[in-house]
Amino acid sequence: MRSYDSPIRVVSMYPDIMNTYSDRGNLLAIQYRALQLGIKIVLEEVSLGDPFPAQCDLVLIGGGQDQEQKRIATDLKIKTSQLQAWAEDDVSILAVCGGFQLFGNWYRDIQGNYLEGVKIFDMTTIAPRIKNFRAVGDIWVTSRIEDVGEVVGFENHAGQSYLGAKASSFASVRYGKGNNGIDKTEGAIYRNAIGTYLHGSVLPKNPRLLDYLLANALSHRYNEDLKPYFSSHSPFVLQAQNAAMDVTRKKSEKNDV
Amino acid sequence: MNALKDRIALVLGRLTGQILHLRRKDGATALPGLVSGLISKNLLSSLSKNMTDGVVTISGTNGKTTTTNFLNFILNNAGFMFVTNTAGSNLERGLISAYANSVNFLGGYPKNKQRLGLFEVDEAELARTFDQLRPRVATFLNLFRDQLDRYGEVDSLVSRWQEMVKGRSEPGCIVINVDDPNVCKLQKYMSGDVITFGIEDENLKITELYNVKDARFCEMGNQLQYDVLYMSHLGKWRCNCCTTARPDPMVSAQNIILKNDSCIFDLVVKEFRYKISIDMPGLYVIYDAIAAAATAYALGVKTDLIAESLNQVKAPHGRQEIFVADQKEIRILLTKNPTGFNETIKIIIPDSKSVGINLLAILNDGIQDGEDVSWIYDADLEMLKKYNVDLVCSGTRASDFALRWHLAGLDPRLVCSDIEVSLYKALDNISPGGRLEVIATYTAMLQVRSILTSSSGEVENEIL
Ligand SMILES: [Zn+2]
Repeated sequence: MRSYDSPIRVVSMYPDIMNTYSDRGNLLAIQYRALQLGIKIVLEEVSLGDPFPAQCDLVLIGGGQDQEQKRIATDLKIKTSQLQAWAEDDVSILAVCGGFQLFGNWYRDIQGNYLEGVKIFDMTTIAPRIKNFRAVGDIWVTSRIEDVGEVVGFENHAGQSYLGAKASSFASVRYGKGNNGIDKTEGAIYRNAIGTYLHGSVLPKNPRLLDYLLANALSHRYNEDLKPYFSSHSPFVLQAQNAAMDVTRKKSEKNDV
Repeated sequence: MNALKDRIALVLGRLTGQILHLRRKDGATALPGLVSGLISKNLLSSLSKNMTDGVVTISGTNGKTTTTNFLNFILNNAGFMFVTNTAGSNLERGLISAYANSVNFLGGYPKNKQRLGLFEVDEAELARTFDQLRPRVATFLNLFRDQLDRYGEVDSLVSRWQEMVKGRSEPGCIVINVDDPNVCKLQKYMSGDVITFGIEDENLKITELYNVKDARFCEMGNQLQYDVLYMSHLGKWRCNCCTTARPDPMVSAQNIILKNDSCIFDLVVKEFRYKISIDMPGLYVIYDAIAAAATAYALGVKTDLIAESLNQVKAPHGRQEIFVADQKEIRILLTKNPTGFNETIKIIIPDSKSVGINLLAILNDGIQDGEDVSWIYDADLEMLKKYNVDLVCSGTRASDFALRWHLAGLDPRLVCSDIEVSLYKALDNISPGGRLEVIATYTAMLQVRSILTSSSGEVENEIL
């Protein structure tokens, strides 16, 4: 196994605020997998008013309630240009749920407030006030990224996201609602940035997505295309993914009857 | 006319309850209410008016059942006649069922007797039923993230509670936990009486390495500061920007000693101080005890009697209940959210690292458990890392749970979705005199109880 001496820099954004749907699980999974692969990590937690570190290979942002999204929106404006620059530079990014919404063009919450987004994804999100949309439940999607494949998790969002012409979706929905419950798309991709509604937490039980993000982070750090794909995964990881898919399929088939 | 209709509704509901009871069917606690409710609308409202001593509601994320159970002891000793939903059936139907099961065969109550309604009410259901219940005393325990798929986010519950307190038709009294900033805020919307409770113990500090708070900001949007943090976002909080701060509670717990099987503290009400010892472990038991004490105090019960009663309380069904099978103890610990889980882990941690723990951890994803199981990542399972744990994972999401424990550095010996099999396999490794700790979500707790009670021949059909 090649040794990776230079640590990858992980920026966890607003971990004290955007943590509603157990987003910490994603960080735990990254730390766990990095340890397994002998990759060192330097973790920077960046919250309201905190400056970004000079270097970054992997950005994480999680979900929050409307109040919390409003709370970070102003601060996020200050951080927007750096985030955009990192995205252009192929930094590995995972934005989940509320964080995903705010990495789009804009988000209109259920009260009708407009929050400007970071615009990494060409996407707009509206929480409809009249028809009371809410996507809640287990979800299983197939990623458009071949190395990632099947991804399973839980979604819980009132916002409906629509992708613009410049964006492509992260996955297509097998079971569940996805971006808007209509067009079967889930999440968004721009370069090495991934946005998704899936929590659960998503990374612990979706090892190929986890490895994909880590590989991109490593590639960014070493400035070469590294796809170490890696050693095998613990049976606990694989079993959790299989079982979650099973549950999702069964629940969904039951609901369809 | 309406009164007659109500009576018929109640009699039929009561009959349903009795038939179910005879046939030992599940759901014996909610169905009578459903039957009665179908016959008469506004039933809850007119029934509540029958309560000559008024209605008491207990609501919040954690501790409803235990607090209500503690109040049962106190109000019994104080000589109250009351109707209650002890079985944890805390939606509207469950409340009507409690009424239906309490009337005589004519649908009435004996005359000239004072009567009180004591109800634990689901935190989301409370706003929907508040105007019908018109509580004389409404007790608010706490709000934590819990089953977000079902309850929505904490912020929305907070605002529903505020609207409800603001819009109530009668002044009444609220009893609030001032350690929870979201609950404490309710007093701003209250024109009637407010009784406050909280913990006063500077030596008690949170031990989790990871902890989520569900109240973080004052109304100006500034981060709250904590002089001491007890659990999640509960503690002595203050804000530097707007000088809002946690007020001194009227009813408090002080000099707290937490042991493996019990807790000891001083109950302080005004100038009175009592030593309390309860044979249930955990900080949240103390919160439940002072919540019950503050509620009883609001009802005018003498403090001596409150203290005496708290020293007699026992655990309600499935809440730290202990069973014995083959000379092995089985303790059931209900958990459903990260804060409850962290407190539960602290309970099972032995005094010495050389003592092993036998743990059966069960995660179900039914509607009553919460279909979203991701909350296990917000709980600090890592607290158990340094201990010697014989772990079995079970339930419909056994594999999710197993992976979570694996990430925390604890690999289960067995992962099996079948609860009965897991229970016996977990017991296999325990020698007589030993104990199995069972951490279970709601429906898992019910299943374990039913396995244990049917194998020991005990009849049990009280629980939904
Ligand atoms: Zn303030």
